[in-house]
Formats: sequence, structure tokens, C-alpha cells
Amino acid sequence: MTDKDTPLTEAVYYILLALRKPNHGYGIIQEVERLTGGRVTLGAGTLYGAIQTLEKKMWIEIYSVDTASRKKKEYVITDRGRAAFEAERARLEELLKNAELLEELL
Amino acid sequence: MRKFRLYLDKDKETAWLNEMSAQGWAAKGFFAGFYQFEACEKGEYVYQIDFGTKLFAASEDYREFMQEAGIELVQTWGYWIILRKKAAEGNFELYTDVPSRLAHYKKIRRMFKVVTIFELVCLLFELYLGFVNGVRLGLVSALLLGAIFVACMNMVIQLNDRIGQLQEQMDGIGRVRQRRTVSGLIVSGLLINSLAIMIEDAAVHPVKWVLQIAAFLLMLCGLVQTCRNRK
Repeated sequence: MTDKDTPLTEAVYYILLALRKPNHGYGIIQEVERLTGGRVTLGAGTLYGAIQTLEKKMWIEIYSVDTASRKKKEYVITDRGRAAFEAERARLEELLKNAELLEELL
Repeated sequence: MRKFRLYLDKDKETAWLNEMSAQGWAAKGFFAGFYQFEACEKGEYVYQIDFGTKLFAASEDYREFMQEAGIELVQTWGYWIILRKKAAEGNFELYTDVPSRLAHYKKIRRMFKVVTIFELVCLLFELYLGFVNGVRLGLVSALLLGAIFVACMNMVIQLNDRIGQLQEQMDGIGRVRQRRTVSGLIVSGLLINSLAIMIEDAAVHPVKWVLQIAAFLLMLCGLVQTCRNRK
């Protein structure tokens, strides 16, 4: 992993989280909306671009292609994606832990 | 119904398509500046324009992805992709965060930069033909190319503004953007101009002409940009 991988953008963070289970494009949008209580709605262009990038980075991979009904491509997070997510999580935890310093003074 | 419009600015084009939709006219096709409209319920569709990676095509993957999100691909033209979604099916925005918006406009700017340089090369070539070989037609097409060149250059300047604003949003309070007070275009224009003056003795007049026109155009664009930045 390079330095450029963290911090993750909010969109990438939530897309990775939504892909802890196999999910397809529109499912990701709905899942992220649910997780953030409607605060984050991913635009189709934003999501499409992020999926292309994440697939290239091998942070996510194609889980299945449903050819029976309407073609729905499902994606899922990879080990590499998990590692990136964990690195971001550690960074965020450090930020929050250090934030407590502000309360100590009071 | 058919309407003829020439847009370089995709934001203005999107606004117009949505205005037409609000009046009950849904765009269903585009060919070389001609938009084909069909009657729809007022405000039935929301239009957005995307910038793809392939000329006159969208990948199967892209089509399926959009289709699944309830988005209909109306037309591809060049790198542009006209999309629409029924307003009843919810909000339709393509790029919802600053990083992806920034990437989107940077891709567009790259295309306009390439086109601008290409037009400039063609323009200089036509001027050369016109003045040296006395091809009258060369001068006529030079005029046309000059107009396209200025329009594209203006587009690059406008995109620079938009990208600058997005960059500021992304950087937050971390960095105050320093704006150059004098555009680099003036400098390059002056350099080319001095080059043109230097070759005067060589008596290659047409080349001198061509260079000086190029220098003049660059300085003009640079002046416009400088004035805009000062505001």
C-alpha cells in the first residue's frame, strides 16, 4: 500500500463497507444510504468511477454475474481491500482517541 | 421537434435539456448539433451529461450499470454521453462528491486542451497555405478554425476556474490557493512574438505572419484570463 491510499474518501470508505457482503451497483447506493441515515447518496457517476478504480486496485472483485434475469454484476471486498479498510480504520481510531485530549483540559 | 444548438459547456447544455424537459420536451437523440425532441409530461425526465472513456460508445458494463440504476442512455456523441432518468424515480445527480467531480472536470479539460492545440496547429497550417501558397480557401478555413480555437481556449479557461474552485473545496482550510496575477499565456505570447521579430531579417515573411498571429491570439487569451483572475 502506498501513502496515497489513506485517507480514503468518504465514498470509497462506504463502498468498501457496503461490499463486506456481495452486492451490486444499485444495492451499494441503497446500503450506503441506509448506513448513513440518508446523509450520503452516491451518484451513479461517482459510484461507477470508484468501482472501476477499486477493481483495478484489486480492493474489490467480481463475485458473480447473474445472467438469468437482468444482468447484475455483484462485487465483494478482497483481502487487499480489507487491509486498506483496516489501515484507514486504525487512522480514524487514532484521530478519535487523540480528540479526547481536548476534554482532559476542561 | 428538432432544434439546433452548439454547446461546448456541458453544464449549460444540461441546464438547457432540463429546461426543455420542464416545458414538456424530452430530448431523445442528438446528431451534429441537432437535438431531437419528443413530447413528454412536463418535467418527466432529469437529464445529465457524462464524459466517457471511449469515442462514440459506452461500454456494455457502463450501460448495464446505468440501466440498473434506472438511468437511460439517450445518446453518445464523441466522449459525451447524454443520460436521463425519470424524475419520479428520485434524485438524479452523477457526481456527488468533490473528488469525483474534480476528476470529471479534469478529464473534460484534458480533452479540450488536446482539441485546442490541434486547432491551433491546423490554424497555423491554413494560414501558411493562405499566405504562402495563396490558397484563398485556406484563409476562409483559417477564420473558422480561429473561431473554434478561441472558443475551445475559452472553455479551457472556464474549466480552470471550475477546477480551481473544486480544488479549494477539497483542500479546505489547509491551503490558501495562490493565484497567478498574470497569465502564463501572455508570457508565451510575448516569447513567440519576439521570436517572430527576430526572424524578420531572414525574409521568411509568411512564417513571421503566422507566428505573429499565434502570438497575438495567445496574448489576447492571456489578457482575458488575467482580467478574469483579477476580479
